[in-house]
Amino acid sequence: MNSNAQSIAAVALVSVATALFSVYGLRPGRATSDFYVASRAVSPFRNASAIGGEYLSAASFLGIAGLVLAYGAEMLWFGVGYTAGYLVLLAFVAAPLRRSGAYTLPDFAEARLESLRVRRLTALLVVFTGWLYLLPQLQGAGLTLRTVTDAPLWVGPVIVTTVVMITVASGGMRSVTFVQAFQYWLKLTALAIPVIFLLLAWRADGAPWPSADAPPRFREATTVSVQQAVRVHVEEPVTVTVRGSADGHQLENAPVRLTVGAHQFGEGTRVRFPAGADVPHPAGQEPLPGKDWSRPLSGTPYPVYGTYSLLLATLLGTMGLPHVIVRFYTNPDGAAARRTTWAVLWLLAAFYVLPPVYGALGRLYTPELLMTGRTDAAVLLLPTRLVDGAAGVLLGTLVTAGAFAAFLSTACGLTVSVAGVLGQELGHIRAGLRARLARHRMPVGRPRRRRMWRVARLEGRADVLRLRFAGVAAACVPCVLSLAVVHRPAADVVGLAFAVAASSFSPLLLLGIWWRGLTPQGAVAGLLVGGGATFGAVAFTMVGRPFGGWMGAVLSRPAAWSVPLAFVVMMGTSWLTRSSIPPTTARTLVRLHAPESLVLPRRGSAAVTADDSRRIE
Amino acid sequence: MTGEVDRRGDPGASKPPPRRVTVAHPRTLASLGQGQPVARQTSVSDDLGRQTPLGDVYLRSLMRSQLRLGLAVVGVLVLVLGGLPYLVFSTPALRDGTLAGIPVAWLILGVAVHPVILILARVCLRHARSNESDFVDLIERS
Repeated sequence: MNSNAQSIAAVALVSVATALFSVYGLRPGRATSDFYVASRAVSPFRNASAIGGEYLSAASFLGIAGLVLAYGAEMLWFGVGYTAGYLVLLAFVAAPLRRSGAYTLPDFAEARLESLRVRRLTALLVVFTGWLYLLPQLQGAGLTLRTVTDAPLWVGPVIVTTVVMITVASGGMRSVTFVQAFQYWLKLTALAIPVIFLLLAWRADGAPWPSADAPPRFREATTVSVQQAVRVHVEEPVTVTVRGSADGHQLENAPVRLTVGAHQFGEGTRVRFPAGADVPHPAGQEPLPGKDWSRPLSGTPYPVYGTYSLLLATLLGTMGLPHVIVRFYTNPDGAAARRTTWAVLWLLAAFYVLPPVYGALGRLYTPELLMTGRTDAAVLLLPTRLVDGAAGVLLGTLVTAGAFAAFLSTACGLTVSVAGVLGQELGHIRAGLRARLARHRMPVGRPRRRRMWRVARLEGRADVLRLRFAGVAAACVPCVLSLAVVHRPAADVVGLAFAVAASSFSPLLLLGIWWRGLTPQGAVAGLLVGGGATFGAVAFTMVGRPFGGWMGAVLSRPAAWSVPLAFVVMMGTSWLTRSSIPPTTARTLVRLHAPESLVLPRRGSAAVTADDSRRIE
Repeated sequence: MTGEVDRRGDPGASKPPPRRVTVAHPRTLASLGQGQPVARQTSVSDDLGRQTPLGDVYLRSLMRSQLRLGLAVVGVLVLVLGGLPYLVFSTPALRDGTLAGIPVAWLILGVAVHPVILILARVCLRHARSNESDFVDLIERS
């Protein structure tokens, strides 16, 4: 590919820009509240851009187009669900969540239920969900660099992890807000401008649509480079030119007659297909005829179950994603949280119109991805394939830059939230130990007070240091995991993360905000059963070969059964243990629902609008 | 843990100085002729802040109206999204029809759904705000 230099330059530019923005945010990023939530001084529009930037991950930028290419209309539901999740969030969660005044999801759990056990369990699930969501981002980065520069697969994850660590460890949330807002607009531009040129080229080509009866075909002579050894099935005999290994023979640009049946291509092989040849499909995966591809509910084996399960996961899962939740704390008040969500919906609607266009064009112009199975690369390949000359290279570079912005922004957001939770939990554990020690060691009287003051000042510094350490840990673990786990389509893995969030955090949030009867025991049971069951299903799907048939559908799209299960268990256990409803429930609910403009008298030491003081910098 | 960090910078000077309150038994206050003002001070916002049964009634009414709004909006969303697959699947014109070379189903799922979501969001935003301002009016009037 001749766009190597430009693509490397684009990736470098995005990475350096991200790092620079983070240094820009270094100066104010001192106090702990800066690290967590940018001191809550972010305007709704910028906050919405940042949410958009963080939310539009590899799954949205590359994944949806890839799945549409492979499975067709059914996958359009991803874009719909990803947007509609914010409507549910707006309707039920946005304002109360902001008014709860907590920093992270474990904070919310503790404030609402007054239980350290629920807090710990929630923290554990947040870290797990965050890491699961980070995997496809890192693998997507590997795939992107591999596609545009032929770099080894580990380079992408390592670059993304490094930049994320610099960003997160230097500035925390405030710098991340700048970076994210910038990256939303970069991503939108990177898909919107090329799409104009692609559609013009498509019109000039006679505006074709994949034919109804035939499997996908090469429209022109195409060289397919096989990056991982692949076993394909050929339906019609065809003569191809092979450089590399085919069926165990080492060939150097020799013509080979591929007969009907299975054929094996080795790693690094280049196969040139003539125009009009059918695209061979991976052995064991029947190709989808054009008619089924362009209809909804006929792309996959159990389409009705799959579609509804996906919808449930995305509608309820959005509110539970750790990096989405943490963003709501940066709003000044509950009403601003709602306005932010409203702006987010606009930004997402504008974005999600685009990926299906790439998917459909990919089916026409980059069908070889069906053979290699790397359908996520469609967005990256289309500009150079459809637009000739320097313009195509330029558009390809823009798309590459956008893709990297997607990996970096989502990875940053997730790492910040995971680091925040990790840091808090470490702090709690350490504070507990220290308190126990201090009881034995502290001298009494005046010296003690002076010493405590000094300790407190040091603690403040240690706090930020600990969070930076947590940031490094939060970024490194998924990097190692991403190299170890099998590569799967980005949107699928992200779908699993949504399912985990939908069947653990969303019952906790919805019941916590709207139901007085929630007890700590109920929350623990619901989180364990819902989160545990989804986690099990995810582990089965991620590790080793996926199941086929009905079992495979149930395990790879678990939300349809795990969400109701989590709700039933959480409500049932709460009802059984209804004698232990926290006594603070009524006070917490007033705090969650009463508008901030009401100045309510305090009871005990906790003022209802206490956190207002934090807005003043 | 973290909440204390910023409270240092809280400029207490910007707030009006706390009003002087006579601390005495209500009966004493009544005999001093201050019974009325004390009684007027216990407003609904006091009840709300102190979670008395009366305050609870008010809170329940706010929660109920907001929950009803949320359920209505999400209900319409679920009807639209849940109904679409069947509508498209059972109507041949939608299933196989094309508009300018693109199947109608793609246009519905890819483009037309988004305005519906935005309209629902608008409705939700506006009503949630008016529910809250009604509540504030109610509390402050009483």
